[in-house]
Amino acid sequence: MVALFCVIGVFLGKWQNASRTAGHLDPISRFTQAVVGPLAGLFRSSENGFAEFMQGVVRASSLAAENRKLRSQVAAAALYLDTERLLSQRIEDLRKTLQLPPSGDRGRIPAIVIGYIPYENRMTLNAGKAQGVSVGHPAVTGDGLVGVVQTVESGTCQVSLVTSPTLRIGAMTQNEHPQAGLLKGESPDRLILEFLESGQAVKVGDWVVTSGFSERIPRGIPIGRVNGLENTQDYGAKKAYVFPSVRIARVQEVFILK
Amino acid sequence: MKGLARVAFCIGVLVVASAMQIAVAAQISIFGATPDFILAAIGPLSVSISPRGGAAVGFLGGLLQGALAGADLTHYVISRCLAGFFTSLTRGIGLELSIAVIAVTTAACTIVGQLLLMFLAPPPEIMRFVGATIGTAIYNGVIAIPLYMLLRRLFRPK
Repeated sequence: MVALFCVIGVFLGKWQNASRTAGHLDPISRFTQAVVGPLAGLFRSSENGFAEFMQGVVRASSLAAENRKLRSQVAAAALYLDTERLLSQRIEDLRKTLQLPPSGDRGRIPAIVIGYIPYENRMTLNAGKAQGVSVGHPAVTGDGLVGVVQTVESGTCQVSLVTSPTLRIGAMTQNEHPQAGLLKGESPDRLILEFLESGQAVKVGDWVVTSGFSERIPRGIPIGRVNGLENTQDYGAKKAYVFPSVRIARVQEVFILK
Repeated sequence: MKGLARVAFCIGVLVVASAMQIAVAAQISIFGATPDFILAAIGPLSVSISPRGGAAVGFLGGLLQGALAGADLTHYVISRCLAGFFTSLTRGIGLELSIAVIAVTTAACTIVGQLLLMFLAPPPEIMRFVGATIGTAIYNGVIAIPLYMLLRRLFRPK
């Protein structure tokens, strides 16, 4: 009986891998998510509601002060957005004057995290094909890159997190001599950036951002800061250890960049 | 509770555990230890049924966990199926199922399940994984106690 279950498991795994390679979920995973998803959403909203209620009770006075501060920040942000809109318009006008193609502003799809599996470095979001999500789109928060969409269904998608050892992202340091490389995850608080060329000046504390050498992931999305360096002289390459800027366990909402 | 009702109850417990796993497990970690609700459910359920049933419960738990995580189903199905099967064997060794025994058995079930998973799909940092597994095992041992008390009440022959 146990052997039979194991054999079934092997076949299910092969079926799942074949479906994932094709960019979609296998029927079993789809069915499971359809059954468990609504219940998980209920648990999540209850847990959030309870946590917020308790936080409100404990921190009522400081929340009122925080609320006032946030209102003034919203007013400042509205001013900033107006300026940003004007400057963007100027950039587009100048590009037109120089006969350059339009910069192609990317659409953003808001999505809520409906599942997070730290062991597997994956997240399930409540946006899918119906909202225009497709495989390879980056998911971001205000703090930086969260991950890349791996499979898409009609109303949900799965994101492979930036901390995943199996995900490779083109990244570069943001300093006077930017150096590009490939970034992969190692653990929840450490990513590894393997540079394509060695000998360049990279310092601890430098920001690492997406390199943009991809059709889907634009340049300049923050990933984290360098917190360690390693020279691997055998290959003439240099590795940098990066502390991710996004605290993934706390992420509740993301934007998917089209 | 007998027959189909018992099967339906086991499926229900695993579905609820799966929903809690993806919805709240990461938010309720204590000192870095995160619960694994699915293994915490497999433990008491397997102890309460036959070895064949334990393997089936483990199989379903692994299927749910792998499917929700988007992880390789093979690894989860095999590791949870064997963990459920081995846990259900504790009935045969004549231990009286007290609360302490259930807590320890569930913790052991968690360790077996996670170590099997580690061998099938080695994580990048083995020591960190083992440390997290120990924390999860202790957490699961505590979670298993109320679940087992419910099971004892429901599965007791009339």
